[in-house]
Amino acid sequence: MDANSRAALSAVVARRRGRARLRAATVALGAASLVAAGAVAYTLPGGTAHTATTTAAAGTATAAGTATVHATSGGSGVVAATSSGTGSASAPTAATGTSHATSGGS
Amino acid sequence: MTAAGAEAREASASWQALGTGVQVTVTDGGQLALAREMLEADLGAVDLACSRFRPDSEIVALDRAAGAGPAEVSPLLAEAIAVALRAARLTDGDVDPTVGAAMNAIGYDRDFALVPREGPPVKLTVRTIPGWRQVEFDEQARLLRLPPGVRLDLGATAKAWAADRAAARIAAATGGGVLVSLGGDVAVSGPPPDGGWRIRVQDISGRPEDPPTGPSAVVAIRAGGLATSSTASRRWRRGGDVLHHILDPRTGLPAAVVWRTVSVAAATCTDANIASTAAIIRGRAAPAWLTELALPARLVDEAARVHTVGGWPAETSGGTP
Repeated sequence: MDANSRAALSAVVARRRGRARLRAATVALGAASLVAAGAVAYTLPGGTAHTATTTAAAGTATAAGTATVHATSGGSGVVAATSSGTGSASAPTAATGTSHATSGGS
Repeated sequence: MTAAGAEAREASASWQALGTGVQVTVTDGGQLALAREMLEADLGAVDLACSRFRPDSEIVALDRAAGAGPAEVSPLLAEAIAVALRAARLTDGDVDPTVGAAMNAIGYDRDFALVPREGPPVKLTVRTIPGWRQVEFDEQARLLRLPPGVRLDLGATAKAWAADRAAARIAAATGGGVLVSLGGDVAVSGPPPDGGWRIRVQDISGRPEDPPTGPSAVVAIRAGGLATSSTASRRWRRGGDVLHHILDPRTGLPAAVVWRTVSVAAATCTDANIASTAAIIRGRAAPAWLTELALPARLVDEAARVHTVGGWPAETSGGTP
C-alpha cells in the first residue's frame, strides 16, 4: 500500500472512529465520574475480582488495602484500590537497580 | 534455573512457550521447582486450547466448524473466550478476537518464529473484520457459535490472562510471592519482595541482564500486573510494507503507528494488556482514554518521546534514549 492509499484510508478510519468514539464517550463518562471521587482505578470497567481482597459488591473504597467494585451496571464496574500495595493493585513507582523482569513487546 | 537479583532467596527460571519467552520468579527459592512445574502445566493446557497454530488445538477445531451449529467448548477455552469478548466490549471493539482471518491474510498464519521476515508484496485489502458481536457465546453452557469464515485469535488477551491465572495459582500453592512473565505480560501475586517487583519497560521484552534497545525505565509494582504492547516487535516486511501484529479491527490491517510502545499497570495483567493493546490502536486518542480510566501508563511515540499518564512515575534521567 502506498502513502496516498494509506492517507485515504486514514481519513476513512478517522470518520468511522469518530462515530465509534461518540458511542464510547457515554460509557467512558460513567467510569470517569466514579474515578473522580478520589479513588484510583486500576481495573477496566467489568473487571473480574482476582484476589481475596477484592469485594464484588457496590460501595466505595475505604480502608487501606481494600478494593471495592463501585456502582455496577450490567456487570461492569470500576475497581478502586489504594496505593498501599496490599490491595488488588498498586500504582507503579520509580525504581532503580537490577530489574526482576522486563516488559516489552514480544 | 538461576538465582536472580541480590536477594539470595529469590529464584527465577525462564524458557520458551506459547511462542514467546516465559519467566517465573519466586520470593522463596525453595518453591521454584513447584512454581515452574505448575506454570508449565498451565501453559501446556492453554496452548492446547487456544493456539491457532496447532492443528490439534481446540480453537482450530472450532475454526473448522465455523458456520455449523453451536459447539461446546472446554472450561479453559470458555474462560479464554470470555476474557477476549470482555476485552472487545470494554474497548468498543478495538481489541477484537475475530481478527484471526485478517491476521492470516497479512501473513501471520503460523508461529511467529516461522513467519518469513521478508517476502514479496501482498495484496492488502481494507476490510472490516467480522466483529466480536458476530460471536454467539453462552458462557454458562459453554456453547459457542461462529459464523462462517470467522476465525478467533485470542493472542491479544490469552497470554496476559494465562499469566494472571498462573501467578494466582502459584502464590496460593506456595504461600510466597511470585512473578509470571509471558512475553512481557507480567502478573504478580502474593507478598512482594522488599521494594516491590522491579520491572524494566522497554520496546521489546528481553532478559533483565541484557541492555534494552530504545527508551526504557524501571518501575516497581507490588500487586496486579503490567503489560506492554509494541509495534516494534513481531514485525515483518512484504514488498515495501512493514507489517506488525496489532491489527486495527476497522481495517483488518496493522494499526497506524502513533505509539511504538505502550505500557500499562492495572489490577490484573489482563486489564493492563487490554488497555495497552487498545492504546496502540487508538493512537492519538489513547492518552485521554487512559487518563479517564486512571490507568497508569507510559507511551513512547515514534520519535522515542516518552509520555506518562494516570500516575505513572515521571521519567528523569533514568530513561535510556
